[in-house]
Amino acid sequence: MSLFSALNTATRGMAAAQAAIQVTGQNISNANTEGYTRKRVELSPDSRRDGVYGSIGMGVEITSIARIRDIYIDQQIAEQIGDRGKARVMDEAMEKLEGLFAEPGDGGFNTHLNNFWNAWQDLANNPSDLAARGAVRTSAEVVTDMFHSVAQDLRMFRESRMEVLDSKVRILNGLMRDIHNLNTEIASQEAGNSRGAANDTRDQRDLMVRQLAEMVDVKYFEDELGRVTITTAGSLLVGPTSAVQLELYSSSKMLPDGSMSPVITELRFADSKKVFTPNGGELRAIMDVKDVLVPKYQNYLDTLAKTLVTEVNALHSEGYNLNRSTGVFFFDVSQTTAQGIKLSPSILKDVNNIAAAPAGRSSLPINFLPVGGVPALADPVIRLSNINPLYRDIIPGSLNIEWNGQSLQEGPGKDYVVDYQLGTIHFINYAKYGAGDALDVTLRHREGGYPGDGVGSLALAIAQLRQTPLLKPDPTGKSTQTLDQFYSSFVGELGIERQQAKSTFDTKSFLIAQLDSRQQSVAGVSLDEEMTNMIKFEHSYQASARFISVINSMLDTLLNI
Amino acid sequence: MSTRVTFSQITTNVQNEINKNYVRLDKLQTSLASGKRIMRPSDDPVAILSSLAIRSDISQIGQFKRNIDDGKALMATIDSTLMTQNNLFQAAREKAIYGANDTQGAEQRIYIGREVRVMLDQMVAMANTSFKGDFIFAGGNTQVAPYELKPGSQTLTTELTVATVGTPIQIWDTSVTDSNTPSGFARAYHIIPGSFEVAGFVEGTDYTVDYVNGRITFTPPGTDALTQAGGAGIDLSYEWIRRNELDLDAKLHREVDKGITMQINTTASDVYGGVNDQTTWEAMITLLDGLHNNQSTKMLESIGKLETGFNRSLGAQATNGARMNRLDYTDERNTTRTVDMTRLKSQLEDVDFAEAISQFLLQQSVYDASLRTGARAIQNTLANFL
Repeated sequence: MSLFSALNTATRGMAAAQAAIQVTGQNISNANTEGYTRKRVELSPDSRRDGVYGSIGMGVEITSIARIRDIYIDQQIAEQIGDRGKARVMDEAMEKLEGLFAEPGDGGFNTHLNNFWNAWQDLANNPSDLAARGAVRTSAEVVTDMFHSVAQDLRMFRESRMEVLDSKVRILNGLMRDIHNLNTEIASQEAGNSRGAANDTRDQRDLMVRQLAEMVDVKYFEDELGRVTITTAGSLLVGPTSAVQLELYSSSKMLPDGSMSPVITELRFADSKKVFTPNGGELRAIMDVKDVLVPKYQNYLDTLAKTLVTEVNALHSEGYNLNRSTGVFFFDVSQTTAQGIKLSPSILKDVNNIAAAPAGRSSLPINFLPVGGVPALADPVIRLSNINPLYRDIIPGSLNIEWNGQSLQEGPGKDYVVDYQLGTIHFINYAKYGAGDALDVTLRHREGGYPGDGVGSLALAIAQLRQTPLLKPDPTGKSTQTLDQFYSSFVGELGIERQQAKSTFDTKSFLIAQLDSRQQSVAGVSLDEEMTNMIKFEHSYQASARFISVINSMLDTLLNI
Repeated sequence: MSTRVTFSQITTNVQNEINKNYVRLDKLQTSLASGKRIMRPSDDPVAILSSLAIRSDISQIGQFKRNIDDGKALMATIDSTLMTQNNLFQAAREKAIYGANDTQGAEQRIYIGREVRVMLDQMVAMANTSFKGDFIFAGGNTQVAPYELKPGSQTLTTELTVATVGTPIQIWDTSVTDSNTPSGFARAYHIIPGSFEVAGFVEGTDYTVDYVNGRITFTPPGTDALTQAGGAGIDLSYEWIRRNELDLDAKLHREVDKGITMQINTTASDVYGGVNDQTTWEAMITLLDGLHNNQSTKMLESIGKLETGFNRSLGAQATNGARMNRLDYTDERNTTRTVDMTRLKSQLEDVDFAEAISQFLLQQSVYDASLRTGARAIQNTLANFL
């Protein structure tokens, strides 16, 4: 061994210390960088040449700059983080729904429905009182407004999920593309034997994989060239040389009964057009919120509105109002959804059209053949009262007229129109009948007549609908839930669902925090450690420099001989 | 946990813990400020079910209370009306007994008759008592007075011939049209004795009247005059008590408890007798008839009829009183239940302040501690000492 080679040894020592201090600097600089993995210079003694007495070595060699990271923890995080993303999206959605129903409080359906029923009771107490009638109408309008506003909010919320989904898919596509690009970069940078060349690129890619895993449930592994392959539910998302792109499309399926199902949104691969159904992650949750969760509550709300309309109308249309007529509907019969529910035009026009008094019993169906069949063409009207003075107040829906064995159609522009109260049937298209053609009329009418302005038992019967089970029939077809119970049970369901989502979120967050902490404990930068290292490498550098000066003086000694 | 602890681990933990504590503090603060334990369904889904049911119950019971109050006000009016009514019955019966006394002369009986007439007017007014604009004895037809003390008139022309002399003739009130009768006018009945006048004729001599059923019988002594008058017409004028032809018997109900309804009104038929009964008016008319025509048999007959009417009215008052009692009991029970329900609701929904405040203070010190320790833990690195 020569002194010159000792100089070389010292130089390499200085170079190694320099490199190490640079890495330390990099670590310190990135102490707060998300996803940064601490690096360490791996050194080994260069002992290529053997001396006569044994190996002295040729100084130090930098083998690699290692990334200190536990990739198994990353895998575990990837498994959990999708569930957390799903739970978070569900929780946020249900928080919104809870807010819409505003329970428990004085602004929710519970309160408004209670006021509505109570208004009917007050009307039953004072049937001829205009103020009580006004109160019934106002309280009903508050209920319908509440229906509209909640239904509208639900619809808007559902629509906005579409936009969220769209932007998520865009982000997802971007991530997959970027990961694929990084794969290529890492593979080329680390080609040959330069392990560790792409350390920072790897950090970046790990971060992206993690983001991806939060959106879709994925599995991934790294091949020998350092490229990750990402799969989900058996489909390839990012392969060694490719990355797929996803797209959204809306579809509606043909149901067994021939009708079309509501439009739902699905994901598919952009190139193969194959449907892709994520099983977890934020994407699944957004799709569920949009196509399962919100529609479920929309359905509940519609059922509530429909039952209210149908049941109140059924009673109301049978009753007498202050204008002494029957057959008036309280709610508009054509609107049975939460979105559309409204009062009928006659009630909006005049509160005296609110029926509080019961009509008489409905008779059994009567069946008769008008004498002379179809009236003479000059007067195409049948007055039932001419046949029997009792035949007025025909119960709507009970009338059926057959002409030569064929059912006639009711309605303007069809075969006949009816004044149910007066009991007149006005034939429209009467030119087609021969005078005296046989008509078969079946109807039910009321007996008893107008019971008086002070009778409110119909209003009472409507108020008592509150206590009547109207929903959720048991196997025998008997309803088991009142409107109140139905409503509170779905609000309760909402509460339970949110509680579950929240607790899943908390559990998963805790797990991930634990895993993150473990990863930080391996991969995180410890400033104290870096400081110590800095001093260590500084000393090492100084020592090598000192060594050169010693060799230098030795060479001096030698050259001055 | 491995032994290597890094800077970012500590900062993340410190941040997480501070945040967690702050969230808890916020939640406690919100519930303290609002006084509510449950702000959203997910705070306690099971309690929310009970809470909504209880809210409905409280609202319903409140309504029952209003129904009961409303019913009781009506019943109190009925009660006091019947009280007066029964006093009038007592007085009328006394007058009947007094007038039936054979020592009374015709003149005196006329004077007694005037007193009784005032009582009758008062009774009709009682029967037409209204409460909040509704006639209380009118069943469902609360907007129309059940009885009317109305003047009636008729001009007899073709009804009266030689052949009809000596047979009762139905009196029709031609000032009222009624399409349901053959004559097209209202059949008069319950005509008040003393108000009846036939121009040019004298009661007792020329004709007699069945005041209860509204029939006049001309007697032979007046025949000559009658046949003379037949062409020109004979004018009848009178007052009669007309029962409204609408249904006065509808029973009005109030819901006083879940599914339990109670009749709150008392109908005209309950107090005065229905169309087929021997009515109070019949009794009073019979009494007036006796007093007016100086017939003690009629007065004695009226005593029995008044007795029947009095008992009917007393019965109606007793029934009304019993219903009021029942309403009182129900009301009392509903009040107790409201108190219970409200307490239950409060237990479910409201914050237990003592507990919440102590928790809040505890949480505050935990938060404080997490801030202090956090601040210490992230303060120093080795760099400070180099």
